[in-house]
Amino acid sequence: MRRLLGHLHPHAQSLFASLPRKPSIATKLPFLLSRRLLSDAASPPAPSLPPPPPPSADVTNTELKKRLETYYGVDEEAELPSVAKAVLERNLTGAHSETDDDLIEELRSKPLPEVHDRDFESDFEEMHDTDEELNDLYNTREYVEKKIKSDEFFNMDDTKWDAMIKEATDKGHLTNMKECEEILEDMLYWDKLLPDEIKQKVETKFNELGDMCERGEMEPEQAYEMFKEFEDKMVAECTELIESKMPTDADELTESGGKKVELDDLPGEGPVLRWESRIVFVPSGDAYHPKNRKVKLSVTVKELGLSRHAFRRLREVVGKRYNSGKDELTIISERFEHREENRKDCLRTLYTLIKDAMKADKLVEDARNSYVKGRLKANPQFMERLKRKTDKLMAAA
Amino acid sequence: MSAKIRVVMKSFMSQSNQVSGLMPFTKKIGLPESRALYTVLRSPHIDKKSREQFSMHVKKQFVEQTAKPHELHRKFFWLKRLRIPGAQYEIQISFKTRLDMASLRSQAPC
Repeated sequence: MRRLLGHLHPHAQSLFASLPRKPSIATKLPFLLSRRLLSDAASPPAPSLPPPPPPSADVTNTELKKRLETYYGVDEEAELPSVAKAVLERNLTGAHSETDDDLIEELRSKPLPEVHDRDFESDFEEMHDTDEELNDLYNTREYVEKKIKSDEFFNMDDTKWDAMIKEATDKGHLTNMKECEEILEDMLYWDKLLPDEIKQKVETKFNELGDMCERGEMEPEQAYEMFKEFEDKMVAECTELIESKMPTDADELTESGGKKVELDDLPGEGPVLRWESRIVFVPSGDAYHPKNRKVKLSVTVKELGLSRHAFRRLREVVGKRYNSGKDELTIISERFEHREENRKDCLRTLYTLIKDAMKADKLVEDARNSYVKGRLKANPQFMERLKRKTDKLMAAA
Repeated sequence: MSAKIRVVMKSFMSQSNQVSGLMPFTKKIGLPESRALYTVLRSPHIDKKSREQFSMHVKKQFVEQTAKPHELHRKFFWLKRLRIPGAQYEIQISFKTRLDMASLRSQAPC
């Protein structure tokens, strides 16, 4: 019978194990006690006969099968206790010990009704997509290139990007960002939105009205209304100013157009620094290349405005980095890991070289002075004359 | 011009057709092809006279693109995203700036 319960459900075994082994004794005891009390109270002189055994309910095979079918029919396990109870009662009576084996075999051979195996192979084609097979592998590279280039986002450049943004803006997917940029710029430079004259006028008026309110000459509500009217007047005046400034803006536009032509000429004054840097992109993608950090700086020495001695000193210090044919000094740096750090290093080196070269003038002056002093000290007539003059001065003092 | 962008491409196949499509308004210079030749013995033991020759051909393409200093950043931005299958390309950027001499002279001790 335990096998039958295990066959029904995996949890049935634990249910069977948790039950007491001999429930019949526990159930019989209170019955006996109650019978004794009744017999003693009712008729004490009557002879006491042994009580007959209690009648036990017997569950037939047909009823058990019916309960099993009900259990299978209901999805939940609501019918499981009735089936277990039936099995226990049959076990207690012991009347069906011979037919239980046949019943177990019959139930075991019967398939369970609610098991549905999935058909995995039918779903494979829907779940997984594979590329079409290539019959000829000779042109695999061309095939891959064609497939890659068919993607419109493959080689993006600024013209494609601008066209895409414009199309999205026209269709309404994106908002025009220029308005947003203008608003943000106005918020950033809110101090410069109004000309100073307008600001001063508004401040003066505000102070006057405030003073009148404090002195009690005017009520705050009336002052507020007057200030409001003044503000409207100021807004109108500001609008007129802006309208009057428009043609000058047009002139400025033409001037800026003229400035654009001069953009090739570098702004500011000073020596021209010629920078050169290399960036290598290898076919594999993001690999790093040592050339990416090398920076080259060239400058024409004549433009530095050095003196003759400073120039000579610079040339001696620099050595082969100076090209006399082109009058060009070249500084190369690849010391640091990043290109910008190397660029700073080049500039630092150039500054140091120029400062060091400028020291040459002072050094030359000191050398010349010491040379002259040496020559004078070596002259005995000069020294004698100097000594005599010194003694005379000391005697006079 | 105060700024230049030069691109040197190396690959095993000719890239001249792709370059014109990818980077318009550029001058092109074809550099000489470099090749490495290898001769290998066919047999692991004797048969010294039986050999096989291999060669690796590297084709180069030099492209120069005009640019202005204020355009450099944007053009470099898009060049970084350029993808040519099977080619390595090296970008040389040349530009000019000015040295601030006044600050240097003020710092220098006289």
